[in-house]
Amino acid sequence: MSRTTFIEAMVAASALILAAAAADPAAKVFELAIANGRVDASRDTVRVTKGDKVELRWSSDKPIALHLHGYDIEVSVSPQSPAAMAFVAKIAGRFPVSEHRHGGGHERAVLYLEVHP
Amino acid sequence: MLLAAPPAAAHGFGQRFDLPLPLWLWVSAAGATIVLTFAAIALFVRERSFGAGHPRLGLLELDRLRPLAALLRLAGVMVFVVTLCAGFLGVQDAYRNLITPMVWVLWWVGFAFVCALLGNLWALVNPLNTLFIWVEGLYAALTGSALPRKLPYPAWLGVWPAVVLFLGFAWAELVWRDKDVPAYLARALLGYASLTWIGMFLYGRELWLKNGEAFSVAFDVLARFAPMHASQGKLVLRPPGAGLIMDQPVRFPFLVFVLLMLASVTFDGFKETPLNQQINTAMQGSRSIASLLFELSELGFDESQLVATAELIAFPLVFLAAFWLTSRVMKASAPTPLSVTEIACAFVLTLVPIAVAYHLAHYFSLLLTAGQFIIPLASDPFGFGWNIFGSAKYKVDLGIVSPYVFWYSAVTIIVLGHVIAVVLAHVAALRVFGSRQGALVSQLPMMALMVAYTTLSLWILAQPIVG
Repeated sequence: MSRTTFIEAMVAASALILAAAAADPAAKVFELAIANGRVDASRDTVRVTKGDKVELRWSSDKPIALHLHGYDIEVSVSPQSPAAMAFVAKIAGRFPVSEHRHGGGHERAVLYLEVHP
Repeated sequence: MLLAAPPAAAHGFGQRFDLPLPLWLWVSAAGATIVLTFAAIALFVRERSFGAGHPRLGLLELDRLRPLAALLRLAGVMVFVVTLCAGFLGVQDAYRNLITPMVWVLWWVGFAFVCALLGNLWALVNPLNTLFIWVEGLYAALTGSALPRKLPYPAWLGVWPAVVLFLGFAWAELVWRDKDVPAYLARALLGYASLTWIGMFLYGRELWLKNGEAFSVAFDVLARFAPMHASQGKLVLRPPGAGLIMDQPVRFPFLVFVLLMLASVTFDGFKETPLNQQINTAMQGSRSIASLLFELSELGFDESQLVATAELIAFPLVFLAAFWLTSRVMKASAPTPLSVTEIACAFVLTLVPIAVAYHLAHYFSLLLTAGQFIIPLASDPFGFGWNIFGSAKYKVDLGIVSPYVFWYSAVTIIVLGHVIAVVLAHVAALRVFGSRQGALVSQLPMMALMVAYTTLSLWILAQPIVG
């Protein structure tokens, strides 16, 4: 097999794998309700595995802007309109989701997302 | 794709996203630390040759490096000036201004790495020093006489000025809320530079570098660990850590400086642990402390900054107390005419390898991730949309260090650092106590302290980062 055809085969194979992953309906869904600026105390860390499809579904008793660091996803949530962060967990690590406020002040983490290898 | 800096990331620049060490790994590493310590002690009981001096290898004449050194000095000054200008004139956004990653990542973390792993680059390129040398040269050229030195340096003062300034720096790094605001950071930088130049002017350049320029003192401590150093006009290769073995015990203010460095590095990791968060909550929950904090917050600092400041001062004091106690037990365990303080001063540098190792383990993923911001910022240092080197569009890849690489290298580095420290402590003990018997017995408290310190470092890395 020449080098080009080998690379082409690899690309085709990874495309197939990626397509399979994209078609996979088993996304990991987490329902997260914020009350008084906090998520339910029993869940302050969400653990997933690298490569997982993840969906964080947010609802809140007050309007709040949330920011998932590292992946850099921002959503605005209010009592009327829940919002979701949907992504593929491509980078391993521990990433805070914090309340996004303008004008400084310490940002408290609402939740941590741990992506394990 | 994975970067796009958030416009108002109050979380601060250089946030770390490392996964904590898994439990099994931290337990095995702590176990390995203890086993290796005993193995080393057993080896010391049999071997006689330790402490007989170390091999050294001359690499090349320093004279041949002169053009390179001049070039590096010039580059140091240019980077300093551009960084300062970016801070004052550039876009006030931590992710789009050169000053933030330059000061906190490339300079403070990066130079610590270079100084500890290669040699004392800071002594060569320190732009504050170079600029003062240039002014001295200019003065001499214009007036025909050297810049007069005004004041004699009081001998008792030692490195106390560096201790105070380093504490101020540690506060800025670990507590100061506005440390990522480019203009404030630039102001602090310029303030420190001016202070350094005044010190150099009053007491002489060399004296101030040795006693008052906190970073010359700090990088010198780290560079004693390094395998390369300049000696008698030659660049010399030596075993890592060999420079930490001193013929003379260090002086007391220097001991305080070293312990302050070690403590601030440990506090840097500790402040992100859940335990620290619990301490904060408990302090702010206690009525008397909370009301005291509230009154102090009138000064313009919020409660969490006040607690962090108190902790930053408490950490070195705890380190000092633990080390003094260890030295006391050492004195009690072996006959010696030396006082407790003298013993402490003879052994303090042997702790440096553990601190170096923890520093490397804690920061190397930060250096490789946040350090990447330098690539786009080199092309657009002010955030004005320039593209000088064509790298302005570079996107930072946060996945560059996999958790496995982070975990295994962190643990390997820390265990290695510990082993080097144990060997150094043995060499120091042979020098201080003379007899092998005395050296062996006296070392046990020191070994216990080192195991505790290393285990603490590993424990911090096994904690999930919060806050």
